Amino acid sequence: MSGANPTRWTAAAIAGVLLSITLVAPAAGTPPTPASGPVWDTGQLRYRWLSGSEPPTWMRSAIHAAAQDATVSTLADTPSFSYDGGGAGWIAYTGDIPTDYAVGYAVRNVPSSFGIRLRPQGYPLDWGTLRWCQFYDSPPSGCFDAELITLHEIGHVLTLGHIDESTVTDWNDTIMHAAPKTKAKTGWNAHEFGRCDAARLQLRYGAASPSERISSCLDLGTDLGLSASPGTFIDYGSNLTLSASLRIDADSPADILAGDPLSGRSVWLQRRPVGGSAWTDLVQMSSSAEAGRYFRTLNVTSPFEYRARFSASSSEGLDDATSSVIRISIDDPCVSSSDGHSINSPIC
Amino acid sequence: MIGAGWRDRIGPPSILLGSALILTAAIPAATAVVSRPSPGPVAACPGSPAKAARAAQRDGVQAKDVGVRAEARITSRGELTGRILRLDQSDEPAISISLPAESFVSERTGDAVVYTRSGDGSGSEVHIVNVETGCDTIVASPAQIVRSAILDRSGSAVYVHSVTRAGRGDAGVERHDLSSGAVTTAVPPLAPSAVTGRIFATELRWSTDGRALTVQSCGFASCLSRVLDVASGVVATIDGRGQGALIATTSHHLVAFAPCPGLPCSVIAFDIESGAGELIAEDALDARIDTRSAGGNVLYITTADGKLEVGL
Repeated sequence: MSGANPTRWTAAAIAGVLLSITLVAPAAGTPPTPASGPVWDTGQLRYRWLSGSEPPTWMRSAIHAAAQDATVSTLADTPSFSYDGGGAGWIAYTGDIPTDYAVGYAVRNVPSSFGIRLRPQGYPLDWGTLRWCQFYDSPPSGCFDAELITLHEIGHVLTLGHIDESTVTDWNDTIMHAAPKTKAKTGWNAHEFGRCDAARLQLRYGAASPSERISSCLDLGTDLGLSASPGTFIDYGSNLTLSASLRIDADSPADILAGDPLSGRSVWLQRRPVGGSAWTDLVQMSSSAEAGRYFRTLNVTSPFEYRARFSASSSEGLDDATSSVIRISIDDPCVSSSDGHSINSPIC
Repeated sequence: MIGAGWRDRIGPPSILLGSALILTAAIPAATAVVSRPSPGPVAACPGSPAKAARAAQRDGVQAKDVGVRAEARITSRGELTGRILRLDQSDEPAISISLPAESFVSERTGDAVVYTRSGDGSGSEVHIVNVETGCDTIVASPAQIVRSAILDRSGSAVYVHSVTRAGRGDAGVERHDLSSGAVTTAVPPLAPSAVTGRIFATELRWSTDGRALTVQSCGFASCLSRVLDVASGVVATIDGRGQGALIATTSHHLVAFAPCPGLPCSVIAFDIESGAGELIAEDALDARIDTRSAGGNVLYITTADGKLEVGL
């Protein structure tokens, strides 16, 4: 398991936090891959070879590669996959598959075990003979990529189902097609989960970490809060620390992701003159050690209005957000404004 | 049709309900070997194929302990080159039959096992072997590539599913009468279907009452079934998109998994007449039908939460 369980992430409360909420809009294109059943609540799933049905060397290499692909490409807090001769999960190279028509087959029994069956090279099917690309030095057209098929089966182990092809706008959005492509059709050798596979896994398991990219197959609203310390009345020439808190909208339909902090993003501090209309980017806020927190310390000599702005990367499925506005006044002992607040007076 | 007396002779009908085994081998048919290491080759088969088939079924009365195994032959590089049909007898040396990759072995019915073999460029053979005597008879020699075959419960005919030699398109199911040798189309070839796409596998399975033959054709993701009423010759097609691997067919229902990529998976009962599906259970890890229950067919479903019994 990479990172902490996002459900246990906590966000520190900050006095005076003002939130700006961007509502979730429906995503266009391929939806997150369907999934069902309970999820694994473990950091690692270990597999062994089923005794008597051990895969040949070339297939083992493909399986190990797929296990690594799965571990690094879910973008989610999913268990990692690794080989262990005593593992609870097993993988078999066998023609003994409950469905005559499958080339791969997964059985998931959360939380105790799982099994994956892969048909042998040369197995006859109605349409012809099953060929695995990895069996050959020069794989022929029409072979199945064993690494992709194993990754696909691992997807089933992680609770993913098959995509409804009528909803797919880009084949590469998912590897969970009911009928994977053979060489050399589009996507025949994809070696990572598609963005919509990762999206569903993030919705079910949470993001791998607060700084993990949110799949672009999602379209999640974000909350951006801003607070000022030590307050909004600052002594002339003293330091003001503005802190922003960025998280996934707690009210969005983001399943387990809702309310999770977002780290490592680009959050800008903006300001404008008091009463002004145009905002200008002042500085990019620095990431805090605390998940989802950003800060900037300024030496303040003039009153301004401040806000934070999050501009989402096009590579992830988050909406932009801006915080509410904080007006900073200067507490100058030499000059008092008509409303009782101090104003800047450089010649006091 | 088949009465209880017949069932008593061959043993519980449930032995017919499991998935049939698809066999494979790379050796050409001409080099196949039927051997009994000692005392010698398989016994000659007296009489006609029909007689041999019926004899095999009659021998089932004795219910001798003969293990039937189909073992894959896989090279060290992982290539399936064939299968060995092995008949392990408790008091005699085993009989082994080498089969090519393109072959099939049925489940045992009484003492009869049907197996098929097809070679490159040559015709196919459909055999019935008496597992007790070792008598091995060719009962059909279709020109197409035979994918599977199943003996009817009276031992009077064998139903053979084939694909075409050119293009391996579905060639339908033929009935080979073992007495006359007459060949008739039982279930016509399946035209390409949007439901199934390219056909990966076709399974032949008798209904629990033995009156209907289910021919289930599956693509990568979903299946289509045609249920042949043997007496009338009427074929009912169940082609909804919600059908996966076949569990069993009763007199009124076809019970199948949903088109899941694995397990757990929902279990659905389709009305054979209307084709309408009804969800029986969700998240099943296993589903088997037992026809021996006094109250009729009972479907046993295992889920993570326990077992479920459904009368059908």
